[in-house]
This record gives sequence, C-alpha cells and structure tokens, in this order.
Amino acid sequence: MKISTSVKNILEIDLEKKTYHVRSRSDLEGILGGVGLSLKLYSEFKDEKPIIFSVGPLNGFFPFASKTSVMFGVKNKIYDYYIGGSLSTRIRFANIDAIVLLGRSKSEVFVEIQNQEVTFLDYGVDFDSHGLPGKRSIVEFKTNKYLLDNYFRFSGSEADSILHFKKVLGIVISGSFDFNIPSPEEYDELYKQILQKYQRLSVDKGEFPSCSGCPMGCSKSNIGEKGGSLLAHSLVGCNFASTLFNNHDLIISCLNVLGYKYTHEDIEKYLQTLYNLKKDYIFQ
Amino acid sequence: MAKKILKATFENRCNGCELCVLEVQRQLERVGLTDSPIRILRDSSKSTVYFHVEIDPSVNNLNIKEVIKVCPTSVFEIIEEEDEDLYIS
Repeated sequence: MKISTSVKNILEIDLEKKTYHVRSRSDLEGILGGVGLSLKLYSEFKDEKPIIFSVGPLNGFFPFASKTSVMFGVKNKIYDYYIGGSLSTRIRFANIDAIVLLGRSKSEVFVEIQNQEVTFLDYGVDFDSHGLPGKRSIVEFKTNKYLLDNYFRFSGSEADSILHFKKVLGIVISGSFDFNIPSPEEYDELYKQILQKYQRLSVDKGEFPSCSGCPMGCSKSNIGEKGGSLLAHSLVGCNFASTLFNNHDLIISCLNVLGYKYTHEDIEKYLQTLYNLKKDYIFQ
Repeated sequence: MAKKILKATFENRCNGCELCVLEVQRQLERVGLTDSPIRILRDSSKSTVYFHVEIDPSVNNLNIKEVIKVCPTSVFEIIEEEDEDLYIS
C-alpha cells in the first residue's frame, strides 16, 4: 500500500449509537499529526465529549516515534497525554491517523478495531482472544485502571476516568496493512542513522518492556507523558527523544523519504497555527 | 555444507521493541507486520509481560546478521546446521 501523504483517515466511533465512519480528509493535510491533529479534532467534536487517539507521520516508520497522542477535555480543561507500547504502530498499520470515541455507551462495551472495521463486543467476552496475534494492542480495564498490553498506562487517572465514564472497558486494535516506501535504500539508511543516535535520548537503557520501535527498554516507558515538545508530539515521538525530533533537517529528511512534501516553512507555519489553536484552551 | 540459521536462543531477554520485525520487513522492502518472517507475541497472561519470538525459516534467506545487530538485548544468535539435503544415502 502507498502511504497516504495528502489525506488523513479519521475513524469516528459513536459509542451511543454503536456506529462508525472512516473519513478520508484532505483538509487536514497541513496538520502533521499527533497533538495538532488531536487538537483540531477536539475543537470539531468537543460537544460530544471525545477522547481522541492519534498518531503522526513517523509512527511505525522510524525509531523512537513510539507514542500515541491521547486528548480529551473535562469542563474547560484539555488533557494532552501520550501513551507508549505498541499502540501507535497498530494504529498506523491499520492505516488510521486518529480514532475519535464520541458519546457514551449505554452498556459496558469492548471495542474491536481491525484495520478500519469496528465491532462492538458485549461485556463478558473473552477479550484476549480478539485481535490479530502479533499485530494487536489491547487497552483493558484491570481492577482500577486501564493498562495497554498489561503494562503501559496513561499518564494520569483522568484518562481512566473518561474511558470508564464512556463505559468502554477495552479496546483491541489490529493493523495488518503493509506500506511501500518510494526509496527503500535511502529509507533504510536514514532509519539506521536515527537508531544509532540512541545515546542522545534523555533516558537510560533498561531491562523493562519497550515501546514498539524503541530499543531502550527504559524504566519510564510504562508511565506515559503529559504535554511536552509540540513538534515531537506531532510526529508522535517520545519526549525523551525530543532532541532528535526537534531537529527540523532530520525531520524533513524523514518526511521526504516517506513521500511527504513538507518544507521548513511548512513546519514553521504548522507550529504557529498550533500555538494559535492552543491559545483557545486551558491545557492541564 | 553447514547452513546458517537464526535462533532466538535468549527469548527471555526480549523487550518487545519489534526492531527485528521491522528490520526483516525493511529487507523485504515493506513496512508493516503482515507476513513478517519474525513475529513477536506478547504473553500478558502472567503477572509480568513476556514475549515469544516466532521465527519462520524463510528468515534465513535474508541478511540475518542485521537482525542480530539491531536487537538491543541480544536475543538472537546464528547457529550452523548441517544441510541434510546434501548427503547422498
């Protein structure tokens, strides 16, 4: 499959009606992804109390682009969280840029997403048997909090509260699309160059479960992040790798090798738009 | 003649980063998880997260030295096995 560089695929799930739509939107082309995409979608859907999971153009394609943006609002505040694990690669390989959960289910529900198809499962099913082995991520309510793949968690209990309020007890997402790269050799070279820069991360190597696409296995991988670098979190990279993801030359090389046509000016314009959009909200 | 085989000898060290999966897929000029000769399966049934490394023999037609190199926890090793097809009975 060719990478969709000019459209973003938004999966909107109405929990109350148990319906869903995938909208391929060309009007979001100027928005890189992650925090920018989440914020734009939040501004569109805020009356329906959304929780938005979004990825960026580098997730699944480059090392350290290993987080998923999670955004939602409570009263007049916006929560800008990031979760690690394998979720971002599964969303990317499902060829989805953002998942928007709208409204509140009438009864407790598990949501299964396989590529761009959604199934609503009743509470009580054997949730672990759903999804594609080796290609799935599971977010599940365990005792008193949600865990991703039984280890990674959201950076604050508010995300747990909003998912619980929506009566979503679990989400399993599987992605089985493959993407072709325009210049595979150039891509492989750039990939390895970035992977070798792991010493520039502001976290030490550890022996813990790692996020997909990150070799570090750091002790902080399970905690998630709150706020942080706008560019890193648009891509959506790990904040511990923000020195890499704030290097505009490097980022543009990554985007260009995937077929995106962004320039330095496009990135600057995007960041300015994002700053302006952020001013309308109080970030927690 | 001895054949070089990729083995996940130290599977218990796997941290689930999937860099090996992405490496072999890059060698096959694609990005994704489908039809990968290496699969990482998460076992979440225990209290600690454990990963199973599943290897398809077709991986041995690829550059397996690069798989060894990309793994941050040295899960893999290359062993040499006699190729039985070459013996005449």
